[in-house]
Amino acid sequence: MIKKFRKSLTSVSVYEESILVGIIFVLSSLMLYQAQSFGTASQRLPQLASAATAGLSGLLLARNFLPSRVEELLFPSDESDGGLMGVDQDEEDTIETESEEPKTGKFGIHGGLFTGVLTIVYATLGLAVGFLLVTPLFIAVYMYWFDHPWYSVIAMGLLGLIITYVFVTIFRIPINEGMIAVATGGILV
Amino acid sequence: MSTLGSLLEAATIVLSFPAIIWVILGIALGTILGAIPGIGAAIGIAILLPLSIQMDGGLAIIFFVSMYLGGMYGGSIAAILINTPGTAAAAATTLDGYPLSKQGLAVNALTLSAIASAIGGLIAIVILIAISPFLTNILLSFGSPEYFMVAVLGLSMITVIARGSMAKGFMMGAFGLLVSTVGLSEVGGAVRYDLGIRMLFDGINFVPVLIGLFAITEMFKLASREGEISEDESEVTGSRRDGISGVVRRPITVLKSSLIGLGIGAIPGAGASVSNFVAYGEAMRDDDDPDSFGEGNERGVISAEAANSATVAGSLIPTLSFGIPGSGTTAVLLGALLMHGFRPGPTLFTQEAVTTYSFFVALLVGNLIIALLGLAVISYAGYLTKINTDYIIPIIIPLAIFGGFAIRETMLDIITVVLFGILGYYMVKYEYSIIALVLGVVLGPVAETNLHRSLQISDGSYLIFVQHPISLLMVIATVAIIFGPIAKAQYQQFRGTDTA
Repeated sequence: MIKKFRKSLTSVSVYEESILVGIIFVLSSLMLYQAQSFGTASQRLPQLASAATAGLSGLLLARNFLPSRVEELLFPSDESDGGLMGVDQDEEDTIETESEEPKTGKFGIHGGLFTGVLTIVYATLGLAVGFLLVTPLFIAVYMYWFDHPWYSVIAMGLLGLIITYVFVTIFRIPINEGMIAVATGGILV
Repeated sequence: MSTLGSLLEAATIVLSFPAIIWVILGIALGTILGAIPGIGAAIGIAILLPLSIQMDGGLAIIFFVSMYLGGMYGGSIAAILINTPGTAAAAATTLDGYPLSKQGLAVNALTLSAIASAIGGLIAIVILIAISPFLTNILLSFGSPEYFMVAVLGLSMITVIARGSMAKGFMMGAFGLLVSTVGLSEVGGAVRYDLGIRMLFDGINFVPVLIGLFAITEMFKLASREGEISEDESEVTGSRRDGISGVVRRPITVLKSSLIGLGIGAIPGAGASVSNFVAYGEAMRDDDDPDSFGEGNERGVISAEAANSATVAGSLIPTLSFGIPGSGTTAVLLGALLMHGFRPGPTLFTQEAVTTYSFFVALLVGNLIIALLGLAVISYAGYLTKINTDYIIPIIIPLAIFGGFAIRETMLDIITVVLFGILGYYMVKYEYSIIALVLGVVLGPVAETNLHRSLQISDGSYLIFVQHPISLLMVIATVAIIFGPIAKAQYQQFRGTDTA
């Protein structure tokens, strides 16, 4: 048991997965508690769904402490090895020819991590000041980070500006107005 | 109106302007997206879904169904030319398609794929049209308890069939249901989990969830691996005529594979990623020279492609009838149906039969277009496999965010797209079923309404689900699906101990 626990602590993939399941566990437990305050009809599904989510995520978190027979029964093909292997969709690309080496950009930072952080920054900035100018910047930074030539960086940035402009003018989606513009009545932006 | 009358009216709609243009556009775009490894039709549909809100609902679904079909065929292009299936549905195609390509017969293989896909898809859709009146009769006998049980059964099937742990699948399905409960309750009027934030009053819309889980997740995954998709040069040579005759000489293989594709497609959670291998295995078993499979046997390509194309028609059965998607793409398609006001169930086969048949006719026409398009553009197909994902990722991410925002124009939807994109990435990484989560989110409101109605009818008694014969059958099926594997494992262990 202690060995298993130590192993679970030293494994990065299990640690990452534990955070994911832990967040779901805390969230669903809080939602289960809050569901008691809704009316009878309104609380039925939230109660059922949150109890099931909290119970199952709790089991997942405690799987290292379950008897091996129960663990095998509940998680028979659990091979959380950090590989991208969740194939339950027709459109999922297969893994046979994937490169073993993860993609990296500048400073050897993992491509997926960089893209994730950049997307969060992009969405936050876009919400604050609007997406019209932030989008070309996002695309240019992405291209620059992954060492594409300067003309690709500029051309893709321009393409981003055109796409955003089309959304604003043709589809009439107000993505050019960020929260700052709305709050200041357009004075600051 | 009779089935034939509805069918004729549907044919008139699809074959006239502008529907036919949407079919052609859908097939072309789906083929392009399917041919680029890692992209696929689901991402395209998810991103275009919010933009289709201005379109006529029927035309939008015709376009998306055509994209789905095109994507299924497109996957074979990369499979044959660079040994990397554009989609998992074309995984079995690589086994003989790529060896044919290596032998200088890439044109033959691409022709086999296009013609087998077209004929296989045609056979399946004709069968689907033929059985739809019987399907309608079954659906008309469904009430609220049955619809609630369909949702439960669908979730159970998907979590069991989808790869990985059943407990993880159920957890994600339940979490999806929970996400769907945020906001104003339709059954009791309470405002749930709004945290005092006005944006959450209207709840979490399923379209940004779909966009996040499909488009953003896939982009994060693509960004994690090397950008250049293909460095493999493959000469596109061979004969179209030999390819056509290769399919025509093997009608039994095509027919059998189509039936396999149709049948497996109708099982929620299975889909083309399973059917193409089952059909391939059956063709190999039935062949006089099974050892030639894997070394460029034409029947290998024909069986896989006829099956995956037929799966499209099969997967529409649970999607349109019960609102249970058979695969990732049909999950997005279900979102499109709901967004455009189409409620899966008997209405789609009675009052809205013409619209539903127009989807089927679009598939019929789409299969013919695949045959023509496939033969016409074979020489240029190789270019699609050489697109660098670094040029796709930074474009798709903003498009996904704009698409998410377009639905309700609220900040919440942008946050939803990004958060579910991140969640999806880790779910895929640790083998949690994305479809189970999607199904929970999409089916949540339907399940809640039908659960509420059922309990109103029964005065709060849960026994209503075992008092109606159809819902009782579904309860038994759900119990069997959940506890069957556990009982089987126990039995095997008992037998093992016994024999020891």
